[in-house]
Amino acid sequence: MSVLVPEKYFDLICSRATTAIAIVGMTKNVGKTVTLNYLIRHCAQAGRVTGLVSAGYDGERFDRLTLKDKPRIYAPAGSFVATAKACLDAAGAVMEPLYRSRISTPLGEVWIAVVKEAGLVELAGPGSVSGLKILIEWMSAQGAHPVLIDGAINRQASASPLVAGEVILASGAAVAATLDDVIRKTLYRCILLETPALEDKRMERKAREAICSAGAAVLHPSGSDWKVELLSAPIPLMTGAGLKVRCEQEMSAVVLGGALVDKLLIDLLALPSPPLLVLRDATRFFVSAELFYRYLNSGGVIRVLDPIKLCAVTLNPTDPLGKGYPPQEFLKLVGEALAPRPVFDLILKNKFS
Amino acid sequence: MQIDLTRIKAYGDTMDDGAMQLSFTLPVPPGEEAREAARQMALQMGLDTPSVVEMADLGVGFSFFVVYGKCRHYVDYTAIKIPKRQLHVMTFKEINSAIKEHLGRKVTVVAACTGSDAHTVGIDAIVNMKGYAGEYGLERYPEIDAYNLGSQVPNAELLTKAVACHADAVLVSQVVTQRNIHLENLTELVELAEAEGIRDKMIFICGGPRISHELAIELGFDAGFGSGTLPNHVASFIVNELIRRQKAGPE
Repeated sequence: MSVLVPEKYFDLICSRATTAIAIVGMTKNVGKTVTLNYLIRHCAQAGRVTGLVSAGYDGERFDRLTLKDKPRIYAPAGSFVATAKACLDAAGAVMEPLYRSRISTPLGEVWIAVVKEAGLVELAGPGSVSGLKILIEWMSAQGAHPVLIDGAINRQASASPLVAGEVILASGAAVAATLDDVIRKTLYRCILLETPALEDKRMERKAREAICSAGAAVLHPSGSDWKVELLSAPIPLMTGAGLKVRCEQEMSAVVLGGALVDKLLIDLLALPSPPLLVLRDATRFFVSAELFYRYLNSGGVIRVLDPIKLCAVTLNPTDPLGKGYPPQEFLKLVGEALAPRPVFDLILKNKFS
Repeated sequence: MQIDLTRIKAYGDTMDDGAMQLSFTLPVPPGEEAREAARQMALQMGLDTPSVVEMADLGVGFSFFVVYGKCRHYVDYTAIKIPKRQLHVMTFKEINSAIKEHLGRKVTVVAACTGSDAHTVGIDAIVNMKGYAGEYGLERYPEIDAYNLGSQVPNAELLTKAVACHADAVLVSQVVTQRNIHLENLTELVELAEAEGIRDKMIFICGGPRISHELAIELGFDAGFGSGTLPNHVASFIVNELIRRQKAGPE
């Protein structure tokens, strides 16, 4: 198998027609900022204009909880930066504010600025996907390609296909106490993120229509078509009890407009045969690995309407609060377990392959 | 007196003398060797002419020290930039009249300690009628309907309750430690709200002894309140934000 150097690989990713690349993390201290900085540097060298936005807060001097130093974020001249007003004022980089978004954060409204003189920035982003979407679209329209979405802790909403065309998952030693658990949890997250799209186009259309007007729906077979039974509730989560009853009749699929939680999977597992479950996208999973696998092993199938493109996994073999691993070995073992996904250690500048 | 802000040093008796005092414990019994160990420790920390002015026996082979010394290091004060924001704090009366005048309806707040957390001191101080440090809690506000769900509330349950009573704001208290579990409990609430399509429909606020603005943003919340927060701080934020959102129009 040929060895891809990360530069070449990320060249490929960044040159695709993608608007935005989201970096999501398994938890804190898995190297999200290192991955972001790598992409910023790489794009600058390749002459690309990047847009920088965070789904959380990044670039601060030290970690607010562990008080340990953190990697800073250096924004190159010409790039666009979306951040709270207070961070704009305190930035080391010289920036010209261009757009006031009216998206509020605890540090003031988010502005978009263009970097006039390169320097350090702190990224304080919006708390919602709708906010991210506005900022990404604005930067993209101004010529940012790609927009890099920095992640926050273990939050994955920014991986939503509504905002990100490609997703990079950052994982590492900090995920669990043992190597086996690091691998197990990372693999599970990959599998969730990569949940395949619903292939049946006719059913897809029905499903989309259904969750436009209701929180959830059950598709009952009706000749060669389906009879759609809508379940309305203030939020999809509240359809749970009603959904269970509807599922006891003959049906082809359950379509869910919101979060998939453990309780619903337990209900569905109690049916004679677990049905096809259709979610909006893979950011809607809130289920334990054990139940998820049990559902699949019992013949259940889960599909999404809008798939996520997981393009790479980056690894941090160190854990500031626990034990670390020898980098080469960590990359090899995790890389083998996640194969054929491209897995990188960007400090080692290496890819397992 | 002219102070060079690009090179500030600790002040003791005269400008720039760098004088400071340290106190620490060493795992050795008191004695001349222990005193010398304490002096060497201070030297390595950048303190010139360290003097051990106090050595006390802590028992079980440990000693406590107080050391004076002159710190060599200086800091460029002009290079420090900290992002900050001033919260516009209103009084109990001002908050109630702002709600009446600008919103024209009662404000609903749902509060809980989520997940495994059973530390209700913080949320009780903010929500319960008697309040804290002379400031009434949210339950006492005539224009606020406050529901305190107590401790160990699962995120899904909190969200369901918030939707059921048409909450304007969700208040979560959590003692965040370095262990990721507490953080992930907070992020899960916001992620769940996002998945359910109601992230923009409510104000999400977290509070706890180690919560800062930056951490709140990282967690995905609209605001974060740390130690020293009083009920009117939280109420001010909620009301100001609701008025702001009302002016900005539907999202």
